[in-house]
Amino acid sequence: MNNDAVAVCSGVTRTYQEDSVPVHALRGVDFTFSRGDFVSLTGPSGSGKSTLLNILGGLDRPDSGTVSVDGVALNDLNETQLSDLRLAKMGFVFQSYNLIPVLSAQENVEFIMQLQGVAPAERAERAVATLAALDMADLAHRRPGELSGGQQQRVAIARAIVTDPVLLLADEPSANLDSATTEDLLRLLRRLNEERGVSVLTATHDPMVMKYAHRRVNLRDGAIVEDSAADGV
Amino acid sequence: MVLPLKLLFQLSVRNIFRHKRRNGMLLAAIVVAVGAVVCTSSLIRGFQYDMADAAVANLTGHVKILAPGYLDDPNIGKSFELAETWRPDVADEELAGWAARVRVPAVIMSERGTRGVQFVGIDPAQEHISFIGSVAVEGEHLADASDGRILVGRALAEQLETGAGRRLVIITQGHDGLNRESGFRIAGLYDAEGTGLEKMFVFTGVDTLQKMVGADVYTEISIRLRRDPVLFQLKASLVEFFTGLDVLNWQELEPQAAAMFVFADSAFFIWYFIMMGALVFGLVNTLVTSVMERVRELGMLRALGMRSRGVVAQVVLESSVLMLIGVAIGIATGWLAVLSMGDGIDLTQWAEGIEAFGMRGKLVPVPLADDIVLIGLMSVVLGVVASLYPALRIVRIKPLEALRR
Amino acid sequence: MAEAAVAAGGRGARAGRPLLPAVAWRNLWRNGRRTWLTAGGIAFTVFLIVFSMSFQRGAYVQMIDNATALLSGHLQIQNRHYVEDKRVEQTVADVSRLVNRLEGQPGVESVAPRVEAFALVSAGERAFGAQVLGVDPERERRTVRFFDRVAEGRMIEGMTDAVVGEVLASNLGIGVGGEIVLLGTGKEGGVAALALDVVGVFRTGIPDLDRAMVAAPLAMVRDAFGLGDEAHTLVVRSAEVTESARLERQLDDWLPAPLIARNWDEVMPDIRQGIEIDRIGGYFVYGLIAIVVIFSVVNSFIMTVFERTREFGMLRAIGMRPGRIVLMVQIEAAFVWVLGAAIGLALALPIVLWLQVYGFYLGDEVASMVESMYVPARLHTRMTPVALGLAPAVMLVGTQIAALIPSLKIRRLQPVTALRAEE
Repeated sequence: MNNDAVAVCSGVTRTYQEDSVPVHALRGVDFTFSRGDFVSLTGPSGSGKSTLLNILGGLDRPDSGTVSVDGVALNDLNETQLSDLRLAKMGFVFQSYNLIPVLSAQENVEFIMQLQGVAPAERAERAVATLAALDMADLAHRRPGELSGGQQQRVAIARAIVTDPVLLLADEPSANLDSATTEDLLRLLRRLNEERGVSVLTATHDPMVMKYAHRRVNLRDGAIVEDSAADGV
Repeated sequence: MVLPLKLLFQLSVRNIFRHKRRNGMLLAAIVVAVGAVVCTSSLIRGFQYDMADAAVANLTGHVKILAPGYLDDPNIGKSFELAETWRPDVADEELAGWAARVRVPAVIMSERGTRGVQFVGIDPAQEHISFIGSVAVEGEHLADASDGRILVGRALAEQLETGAGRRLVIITQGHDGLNRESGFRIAGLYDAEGTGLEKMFVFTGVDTLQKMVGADVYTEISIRLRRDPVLFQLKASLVEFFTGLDVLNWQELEPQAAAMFVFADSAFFIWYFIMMGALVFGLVNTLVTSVMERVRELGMLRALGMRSRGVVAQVVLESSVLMLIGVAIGIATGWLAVLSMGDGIDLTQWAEGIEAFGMRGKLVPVPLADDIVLIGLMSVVLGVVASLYPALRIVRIKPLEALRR
Repeated sequence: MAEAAVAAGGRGARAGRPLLPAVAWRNLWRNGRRTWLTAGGIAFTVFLIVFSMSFQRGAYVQMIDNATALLSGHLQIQNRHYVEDKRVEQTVADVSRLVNRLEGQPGVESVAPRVEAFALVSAGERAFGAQVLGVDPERERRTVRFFDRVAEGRMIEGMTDAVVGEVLASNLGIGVGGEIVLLGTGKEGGVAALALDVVGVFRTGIPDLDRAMVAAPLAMVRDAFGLGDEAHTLVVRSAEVTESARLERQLDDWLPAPLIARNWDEVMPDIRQGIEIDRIGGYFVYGLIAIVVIFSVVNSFIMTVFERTREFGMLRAIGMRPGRIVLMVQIEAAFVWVLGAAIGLALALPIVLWLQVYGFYLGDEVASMVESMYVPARLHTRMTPVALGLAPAVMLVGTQIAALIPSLKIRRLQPVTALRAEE
């Protein structure tokens, strides 16, 4: 295997019971994700791309097959260990931002570092720096309710990258954004990928997102049907 | 992972302020419940202490020394002699006082009527330990142990249609077993707030009564302490000193009052738990809602890597903070209610009814620091317990499901 | 969700049921946990209040019953002057005729005339003051239960028989078979003296009676105290103690001056006051519990209305008048109340009815505490319309108001703003 592999899964299957009808979300997926990659998982609704993203992120478990992230086999971890793994190695950006409404932008960014036990001074410094890098310095003290969708998504990204995660996972990051804002967001992700070497994995419908990725993995009915390099813009 | 308590605390407070109306209403319920318990418990304590005090002050004292058999058959034959120099063997700072008395059943007659009473010879200087030392007297109080006049209760005087300065005839049994009859002038009428004591006791100087019964003896020594705890130690030393006599504490002398005293303790807890029972439905209801509408938010926290116990801690903390605020305001409110009662609720309108429960005319609230601290602590514990249900529910929802909602 | 509920309501309407209640009912089950918790609070209150009020009513009825049945009867007829000033000469005259006429009065079950006097009771060298009752044993037996309390020996039969209180007997150092001498002041001021044989000792648990009372045949006591066909008190038993207040008014109108009828609550003010203060204390406590629970109900509806702001906006948008939305919430409140009150009553009724029949033993300690207030050791609850209905009625009003407070803002709701509101 490639030594640069950040995440590897092999033979992963996942079946949901939905209204007692089994839904085969993944039917034996083998996938390797290398350090510094910018991958977009694509495919229609129900193709299994979100499931794959969640399994790689340690949010979901496969029914069979193995998953390892940064050399750690996820299958062997209990819930608490999974929590700690997510805290230490993952950054998440969700479709609907999922910021804590009662905390300001900066506090939201600091929050995750507080969970990690980072000292207050360093926490503040890193949060301010990260928000500044995302052009959000002026809005650091606003609460999510006082920010636009794009601004909230930037705060979410700041929160995701401030801990220097091994892997940045973004599930439909552009779903609630207009195209101009989406463009901004993708340039930002691309910049982070290139300048900071953050590995990015997105699951998306959005052709614009695919355009920015280095590698496109296309799923259909729970299996990878295409895995190709994309030039990226 | 360390629990970032400061952050969790901050989150709790902000979440409470997020829904001002709802949490305000919950706070109001907590305040009413806690305030009511604080206020009522101090009334229960007031009742309890007043009753115990009345029982002790009603010529009983904390400990009493009696001749054997006097309780079943109180007559002058069941008496004892006492050395002039005798003093109870108790440190001065523990002893409120003591009194040696002669107490005999007697018949009292005026030209208008006849009644049966307890005729008590006292040394007025010793009686600051009993009700007769502090009652209001119309006319004069007894001057000293050799005062030859009598002190009569107002209600009895009304029945006998007599008054201060008039004369009454008293018949009682002498030490030799023969009846003695003697006339007395009334020094004054005492007012025991309309209680039955007024009809029960007639007082005179102890020397006078000893002369009347024809023996230099006493029927009882009553000892009053400043605090209850030394009672048992005192009793033991008295038992040793007065070999052959009965040494009884007030619980034995007034079993009804002692039982009521114990009962008041349980009344306090029963009342507390009923009130908190009423509160718990609203508390759980609000907590469940506040947690369930944040399922996604809390799910996200866990997706980001917060452990389950961090989420539980946040919910529990939120409930505890709410409870703490409610308890603080509730105690303050209860305290104000207690203060507003001033020197007590006037119950003289029901004087005869409450006397059966050993109470006097006024119910004075007695707020005890111990009770209030206990109420506060138990309420916060209740807040924690009530929040465990929604907290454990929410961590049972997998982060992924929570995020999908 | 909202659409589903409204659609369901539509189906309900087609099935011939009124639309709004059907929608309201289904709305309750969108958040079943909340509905159950809210109803639970109401049930708790209803249960507690119904139970303890029945308990109180039971205690009161038994207290009154025991107190009146023991000795003093439901009503007493006395000379007005005797009430003010218990002197031996203030009597009811012409007793035999009056008793007969009284027994013809509707509502009067039986009448027992008594002579009451104070005397010095002595046995050997011992002497104590005591109340002497001259009684007609036959009539007493029909009017009160006092003579059931003769613990030792028997009731008065012969002309020189007497029964004395337990404590008095022990103070006098005598028992059944002893002899006592009564000395008092007669009607004309002369000495009244009477020698009697103790044939029984009674124990009532009421200190005043056990310590200082003697009962002897009416004729003997009359004779000794110089009284003719006279009595101090005519004790009356009515069919039911609850009828006694009415009977008092009836007899008051009928009795010639200076006679008056006195109901038991005048004769024994301590019982009336004890009941009054217990009742007031009870209402105070019930009020506090109800307030706490009603606050919780308000809260529940604040949450319900808040969460459904969007839905209400939608209902406004499709043309529902605000008043009808408020009405719908009111119907939801009524259903919650029905659930809560039904559960509360369903829990309370079997217990209360069971205890009404079989009673509840208070325990020795409590029993000894309340004995002097005539409360029996075995207490029976008593279901009365007030005990049953008060708590549900208060909670109904409380619940409707609780639901009204937050729903008033629906009237000011702008459909467009509401639709934009967060879920």
